[in-house]
Amino acid sequence: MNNFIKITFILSLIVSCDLETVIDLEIPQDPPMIVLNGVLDTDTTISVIISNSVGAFSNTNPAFLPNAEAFLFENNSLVGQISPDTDTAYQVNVYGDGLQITYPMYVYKINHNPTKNFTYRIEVNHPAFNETAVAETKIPDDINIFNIDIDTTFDGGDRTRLNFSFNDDGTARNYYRIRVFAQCSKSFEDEYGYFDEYYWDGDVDFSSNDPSFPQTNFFELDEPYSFIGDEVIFSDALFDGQEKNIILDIETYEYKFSYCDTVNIEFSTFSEDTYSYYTSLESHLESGEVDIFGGEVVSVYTNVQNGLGALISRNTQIIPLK
Amino acid sequence: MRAFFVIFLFLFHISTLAQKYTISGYASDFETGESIIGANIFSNDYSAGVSSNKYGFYSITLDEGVHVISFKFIGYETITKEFNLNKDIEFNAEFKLSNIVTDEVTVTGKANVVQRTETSVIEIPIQQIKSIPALMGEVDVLKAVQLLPGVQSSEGTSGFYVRGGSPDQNLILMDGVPVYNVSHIGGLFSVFNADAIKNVRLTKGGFPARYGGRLSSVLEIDMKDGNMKEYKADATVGLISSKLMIEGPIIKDKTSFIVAGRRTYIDLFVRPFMPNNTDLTLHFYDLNAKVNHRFSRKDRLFISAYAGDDIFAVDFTENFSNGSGFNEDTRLIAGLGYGNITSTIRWNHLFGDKLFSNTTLIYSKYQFNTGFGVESTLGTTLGNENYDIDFGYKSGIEDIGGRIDFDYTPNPNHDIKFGVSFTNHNFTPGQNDLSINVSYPPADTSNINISVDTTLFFSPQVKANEAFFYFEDNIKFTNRLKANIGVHFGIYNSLNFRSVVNQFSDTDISFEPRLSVRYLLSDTWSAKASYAKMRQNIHLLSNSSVGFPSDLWLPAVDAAPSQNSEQIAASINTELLNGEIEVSLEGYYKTMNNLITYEAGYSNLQSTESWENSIEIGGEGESYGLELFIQKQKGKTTGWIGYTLSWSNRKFDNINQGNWYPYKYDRRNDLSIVLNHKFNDKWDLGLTWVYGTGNAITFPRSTYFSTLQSGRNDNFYVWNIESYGDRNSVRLPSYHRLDFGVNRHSQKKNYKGTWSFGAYNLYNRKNPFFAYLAYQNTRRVAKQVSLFPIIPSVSYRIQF
Repeated sequence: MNNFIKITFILSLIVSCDLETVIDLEIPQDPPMIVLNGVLDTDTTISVIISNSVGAFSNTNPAFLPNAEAFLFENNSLVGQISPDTDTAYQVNVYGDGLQITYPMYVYKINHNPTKNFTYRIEVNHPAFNETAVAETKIPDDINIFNIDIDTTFDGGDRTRLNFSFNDDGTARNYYRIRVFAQCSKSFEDEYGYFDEYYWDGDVDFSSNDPSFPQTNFFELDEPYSFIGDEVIFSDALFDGQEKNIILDIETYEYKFSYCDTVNIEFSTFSEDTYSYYTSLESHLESGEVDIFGGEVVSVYTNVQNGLGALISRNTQIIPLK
Repeated sequence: MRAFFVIFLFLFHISTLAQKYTISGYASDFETGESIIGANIFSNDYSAGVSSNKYGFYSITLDEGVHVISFKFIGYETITKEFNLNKDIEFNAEFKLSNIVTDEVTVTGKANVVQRTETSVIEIPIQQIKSIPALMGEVDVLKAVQLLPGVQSSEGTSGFYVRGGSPDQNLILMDGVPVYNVSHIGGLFSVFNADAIKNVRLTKGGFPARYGGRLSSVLEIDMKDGNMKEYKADATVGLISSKLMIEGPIIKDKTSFIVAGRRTYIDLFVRPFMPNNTDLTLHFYDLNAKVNHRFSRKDRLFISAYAGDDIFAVDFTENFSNGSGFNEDTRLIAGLGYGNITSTIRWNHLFGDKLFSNTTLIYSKYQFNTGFGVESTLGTTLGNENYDIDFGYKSGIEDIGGRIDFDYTPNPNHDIKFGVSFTNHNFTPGQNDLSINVSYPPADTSNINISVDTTLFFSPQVKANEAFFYFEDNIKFTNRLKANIGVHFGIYNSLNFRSVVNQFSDTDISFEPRLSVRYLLSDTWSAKASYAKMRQNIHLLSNSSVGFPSDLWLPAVDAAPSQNSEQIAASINTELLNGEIEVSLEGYYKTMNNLITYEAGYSNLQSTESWENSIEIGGEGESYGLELFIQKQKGKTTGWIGYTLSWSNRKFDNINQGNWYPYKYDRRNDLSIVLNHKFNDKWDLGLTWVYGTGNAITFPRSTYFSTLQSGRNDNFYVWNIESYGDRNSVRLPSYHRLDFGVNRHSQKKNYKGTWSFGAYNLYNRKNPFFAYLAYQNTRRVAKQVSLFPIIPSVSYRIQF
């Protein structure tokens, strides 16, 4: 009996020290599907990307589909076929968990600009897939921006304050996005006397205390702003049907602003599809993968029947700052 | 409503016409003086009966004349006594253990499942719980509850899910006080020390009107009162903890006490192996204490308290010197602690022979704290630089309240209960504190001292008041038809301290009707049905991946209003083999609304959003299923088989595109087999086998590209997106395991000793705890973590 007790005790201690075991798990996967992605904007011709999905544990990666048949419908009337532009290959970086590859991707195009308030539907067939993938989106209405005021002396010149107003449409829930976009090319002389060409094409940080913007400033306690970021997506939940005034403070001392010749504010109205897609994509990327400590994962919004992806739309206006 | 009272008064009136007298008193154990709950007291010639209440009090009122009254409680000798009723009589029934039954394993002593009016109620005597094989030999009340039909659980957690409800929807009462966190070590063990417990009772539906405040279940855990006759001690030495319980009379038959303590000692084992510069604290403890005093037959006072904590802390120090004037002393402290404190004062008072009252004052507090700190001193040529940085997080809930319950038995056809309750909740939904103090030597003019002491991400404290009044009557219409009819009126409001001026939000009033009906089809068959409407004014925000002690208790507020449920249940019940086996088959359908959950993607450990901005509200839930419970109560072999076939679904506007999806603990099949066999006085054996459909989880099903994004310098990129399909559309593998335990008892001259040997998960099943993604040879794969392989255990218990 004494030996039995000793052995039991020792065994218990050993196994208790390393209770966790890891084993492989068989999880069912979905078969590949057509993936249709496109953002329709009033100032550009319609283009979409057609690719395929793969099973979550597949040996292969998703890929561009060059031989799909795609058709564009405007308010339910056929406009024409959307064809792949095989002359122009975009070298696209693909980012994902454990994945960073670059390969050419072709865009399906049709020489047709979307019109505000029109509904567009795209149908895609491919010989490898039995079902037709279908998606549609409605182009948002124009928005009238007024009372634009740009104060370049704000905060001692360290910031430019942009003040503008618009009237929100009270008949529907509306969604908006603001970005500050800079483009420039400069040459700098380094300490050895060589000149480096510097290119910039991207977003610029701005700040605001607008209550419709999400709170993002938790750590910069000395900054008197609730929102700091380079892009904001918000809805009219707090000003539905009212005149809305927006105040943005853009950092001018930061090189992206100070060195660039062109800085614009992009103010877009989104369809609900677009809002759902961008917000869910952001949450999806932030929340990461399945993780015991990470909370529930977020599915990205899709409006493609018999497939995946998103056909979304926006109506963008530009306010030049520089 | 008016018709209800008219019918009630009519029935009440016709049953009180004749001259009647009352026999009343207390049912207790002859040897220990412990009150006996649920003893049956019935008149042989009148076919009328009552049961003793949870303080052992009974009152039976009969017509004038001679009556033979039987007092019965399974496991004890039946007391039969003749009373000549020409006046009210006091009689205390002191039950002696039956010579016949003491050779058997006593399983239950309650009114049987056929006779009881209540539906969806299961009681487990503590003796039964102690004979169930346990993880690491640590007897656990909640692990036993998890084996009951209609109760789902997860490996390694003490939380339980009743009929599709979430863990916060269970009202867990220890001596009438709500206990908010029932877990030790993140859920491996529960906070209830079985040595200090007398009775465990789970109500899953058909809630009597005296219960309120939760949607899915009420788990009542009653502490022992303490032996009134003699001193007793019970000590157990186990692999991870030791326990000691002492009880006895302070004044014989008047005042008794019980003190029980338990502490783990993993840290004591580990400490000798730690480096000298590291101090580790890792343990939990429980301390239960109770005193009760009988002032007279009419007055009795109980004072009980519980305190328990989990403490984990690391204290690390390091010294460094380069021998040329520079030296550094650093101390790192990280800690995590959580625990409950509960206390209650209860006063029993008899108004005459028919009206029993119990007045209760309660206090309950749960607090979670975590933090880390760095203290560092750098000795430089200019002097000492001091760095002191502390970060802390805390959350919790504190209740202060009182209630008065009355139990009035005017005649055997009515058992009326009514009462009122008030609770003040004080919620601390989460607060992060940061303190930074940096000082430089005066000679160092290039730096300035920094001192910051601030609170970050503060969710303000919220107070809420909750009151209710209830009335219920257990009515015997005929010998076959009994019903428990009641109403529960609730009043709730929250005080929000966010603004300078306190604001009362709208007071919320609820009306919750309750009904349970039993119809005897024959002496051995009955059919039952019940309806209950429930309201819950508090929420628990829990990370959906796993339950943590950091989960937040929150009040119902305008942004997240009170949860509601309605449940109907119906059962058919029988007993076989002369009552040795009880069988019940019960179906239920439950709907819930105003449920809340974290927004998808939110992690309370990673996010900085306040809770109000991080939740989905207005959720709906539905659950339905069938439960089969077969229980053998007598004989050398006892135990039960519980099988549940169930569905549980949820719906939120912003989750799963607004469509219904399976709840994480939607478990289609759930089976528990619990067996105990007593070979002789020396040896007994316990076996438990459980099986459950795998948990529903959300897992990647495919991957695809996002829309084309434009980056800097005309760079284009896409994201590789996971497609998860519908929420919780993937099932983890099924869960099953076999536990085994054997006890060897030896009766010595002055004490009784018991060696217990056991094995948890005897056939070493790799049950899923959670799943995650990993890479294997550049290929992505799914992996599963399993917590417990086969775990043998041994303990020694001594009683004297």
